Amino acid sequence: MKAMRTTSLKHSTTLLLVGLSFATAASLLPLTGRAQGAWEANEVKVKSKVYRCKKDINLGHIFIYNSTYPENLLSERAQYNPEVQEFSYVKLVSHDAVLNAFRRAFTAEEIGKLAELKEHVSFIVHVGEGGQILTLAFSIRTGTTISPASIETLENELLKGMQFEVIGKRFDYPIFYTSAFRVYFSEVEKGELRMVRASENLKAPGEY
Amino acid sequence: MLWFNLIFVTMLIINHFPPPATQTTPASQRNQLPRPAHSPNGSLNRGKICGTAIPGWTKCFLIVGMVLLQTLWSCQDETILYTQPESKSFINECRNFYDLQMGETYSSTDVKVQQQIPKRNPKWEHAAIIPFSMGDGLVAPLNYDEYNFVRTTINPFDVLMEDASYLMMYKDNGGNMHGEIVFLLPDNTKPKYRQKQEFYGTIIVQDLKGNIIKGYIHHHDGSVTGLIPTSSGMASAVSNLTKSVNCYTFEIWQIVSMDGGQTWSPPRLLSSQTECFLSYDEPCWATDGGGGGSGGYDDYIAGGGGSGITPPPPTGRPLTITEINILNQFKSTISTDCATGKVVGSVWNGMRFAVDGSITSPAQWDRTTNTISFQSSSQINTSTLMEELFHAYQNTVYPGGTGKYSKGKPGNTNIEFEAKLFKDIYTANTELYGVWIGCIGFPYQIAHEYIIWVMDIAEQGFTQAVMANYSTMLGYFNQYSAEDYRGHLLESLDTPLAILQAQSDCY
Repeated sequence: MKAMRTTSLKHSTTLLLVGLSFATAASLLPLTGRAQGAWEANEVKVKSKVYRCKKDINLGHIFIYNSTYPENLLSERAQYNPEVQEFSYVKLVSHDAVLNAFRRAFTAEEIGKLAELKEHVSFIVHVGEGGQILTLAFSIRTGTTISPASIETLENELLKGMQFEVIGKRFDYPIFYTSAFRVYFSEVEKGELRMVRASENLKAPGEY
Repeated sequence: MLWFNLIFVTMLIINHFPPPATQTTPASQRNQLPRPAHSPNGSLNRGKICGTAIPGWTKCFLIVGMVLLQTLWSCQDETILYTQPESKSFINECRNFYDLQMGETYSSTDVKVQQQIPKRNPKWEHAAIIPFSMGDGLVAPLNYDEYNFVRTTINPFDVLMEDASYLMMYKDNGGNMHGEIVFLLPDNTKPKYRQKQEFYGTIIVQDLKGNIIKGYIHHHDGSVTGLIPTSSGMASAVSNLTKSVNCYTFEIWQIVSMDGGQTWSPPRLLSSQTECFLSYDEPCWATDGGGGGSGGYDDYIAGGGGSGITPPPPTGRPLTITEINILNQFKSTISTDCATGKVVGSVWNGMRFAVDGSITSPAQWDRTTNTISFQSSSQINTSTLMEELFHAYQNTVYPGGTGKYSKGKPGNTNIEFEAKLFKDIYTANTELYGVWIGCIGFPYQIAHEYIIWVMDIAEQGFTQAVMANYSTMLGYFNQYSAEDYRGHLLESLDTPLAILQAQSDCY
């Protein structure tokens, strides 16, 4: 009798685990369903734009570029080079603007699930001499559950809310700076984006 | 030159002693050289200046300094100034006393004592006897066994010890012999060795064992501030005149050449003393003798010895107190990162820092002097600091150092890329002063790939996957970076040894 009871308990636990796994998988289905295979092509069309994609299988990254940016946008400008120029850089004006962009692009439920999967989005911004955003590109993990539509919304929200300001020397000719961030969904969930906050807190030498 | 010296010294001696009672020429017309204070009865106010127990030595040091530099540094190949038998006898007495004192000191087993006093060699053959207010005294130039220089928080320049110091010996009223080492530390412009230049600055006096016992600051308006160490017994004598208390650090550094001056060792700190001083006005100096004297000051920093070997001249200037504070702030900031902290801990001690407007990059590390020079004050930032500290670190990691990979040599591309990558990894970790420098010049998409790759390294260290891309990224750097860095790739150096070592145990 006792042995039978034990077997029954084990059986119940296994069933419970299987059930939970199915439930988890099922809850992720809407997200993954949208994303699965979506980044396979070299060009991904979304609502209002086309993304060019490049994959690095070895490192496990997909690089995503908005094809609407003119090819020569950066080549017409000098790149800021700290090795030959006085200190100058760009900082984010507001941490919360970036945080809110993520919160608008992803639902709380999606953020929670992506956080569980340890997902992140990296974005690289080229910024002009006046703090204006010139280009915005993304990088996500291969096999990600993040959909192209979410990236499109994120891009729009970032472009709407994200602002940069120049610190240190200001140049009065066309120049560009490179600013890069990696945001984990676990950070979005907690409301504190480490690299974004660091940028917001940047100070020019002498401001300390 | 010798004739000029003789006239100069004679004038000084004339002015040093009280004028005859019958002399009617006003003091202001006699000459403007500083003189000791005189009591109303015309006798020297020995041992008492301005109502304090500060001795007439105050001006003696300054007078002697003037005379010494005017006479001794200019008569290296000439004869001794005073050759009378009694002078020779006094010089011998001083020499015996000095040898006895220093013999004991140099044979001391106290390592601290030995380190504090670099081996000096008084040039007795160029010694001169100078009449002080307390009687005759001796001054002699010094040279040193090694190339030593003085660095202080008092003046903004490193000063070659041989140029800046001399020996002074005298007997006090009780007939006891004293020996002192006098340092002249200019504060106006960087001294050009062997060229005459007006001296304004600080005189620091040490006893023969290297303890600082007093000092004077000669200001540009001609006034003089006396400095008495707070620890000195004399401090109470000036406490009622004290203007302020200031603390200064006085360091002696040494570099050594084993090949006749072609290459030099990194500077080694021999001693560092921080001394707090009571500063007080020396009104007599300003009022008696007409504002600090004339003539001799130009020669304080003129001339100098010379061992025949030309050492690398100190370039740039040491950092100001503000710059040091900024630097230390950055040091603390970057030290919190595991790998960078390891680099800082490994190379910071013994590292010198300077601001040198003549360099062509924002910052550079000089292997021969172990100095990081910043092009300007505003170039002192985490980005420049980290890269240059890392270059110093690379030198300790790569077998035989990185000298063989210097600019224009095979391997330089690898070394430069590794340093920039190290800095960028830190940027990825912190985004502090996050100017990405390893991908400057890269096409847009490749720069993007580089940054994402660096972010991966920052998070996981050099995993097999990221290491697999190292050669590719190094190749991009060789292809797209600034011309200075391109074209000196060494295939055998395709592993970032120094980064790997710095990152060990960090992940």
